[in-house]
Amino acid sequence: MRKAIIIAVLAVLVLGTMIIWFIRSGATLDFGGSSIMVIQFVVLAFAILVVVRRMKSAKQKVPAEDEMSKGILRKGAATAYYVSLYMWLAFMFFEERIDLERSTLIGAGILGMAVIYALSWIYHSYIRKSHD
Amino acid sequence: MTSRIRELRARDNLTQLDLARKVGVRRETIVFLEKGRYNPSLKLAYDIAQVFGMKIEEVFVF
Repeated sequence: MRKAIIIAVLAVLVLGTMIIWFIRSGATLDFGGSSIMVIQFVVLAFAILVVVRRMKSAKQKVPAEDEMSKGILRKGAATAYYVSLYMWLAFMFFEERIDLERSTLIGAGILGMAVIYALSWIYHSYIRKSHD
Repeated sequence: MTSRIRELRARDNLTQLDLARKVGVRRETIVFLEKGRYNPSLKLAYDIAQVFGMKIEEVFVF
């Protein structure tokens, strides 16, 4: 339960910080700006999903993490790492073609990694047929 | 690997949640075990067998 609260607080802090940055940087809702907003909401949706699952487990008096869910986390992380390598390669390839500051590009890459991890975890949790 | 968990649960009148609580795992893990989509660790297999008062090889079929 405590971990669920920490995740919820962190998600709100990340979202709040991103919104403040978005407003203060004067970014507009063009392709780049709206992409960042979409990524933020994906990250937030993932955090909400994790918190809901943990609270449900707490209510049912079963552990929030067991050997299977830990295995899913590990597999999700491994897949996300592998896919992220290709994402960074793509970023390097398109860097000269996209007119973005390097810090923005790195920020987008970090957010991209978070999204890839979320999608990878969802794939291993709900779509993949076997967990072996 | 297949298991007789569903059959033994019915025999002992246990829900998936009851069994999950007894062996300290999430209900989803029991669901996946029953469907043969997850191979448990030796400890979990032993704990489940203990709940039913049986040996591991009587619960899990290799």
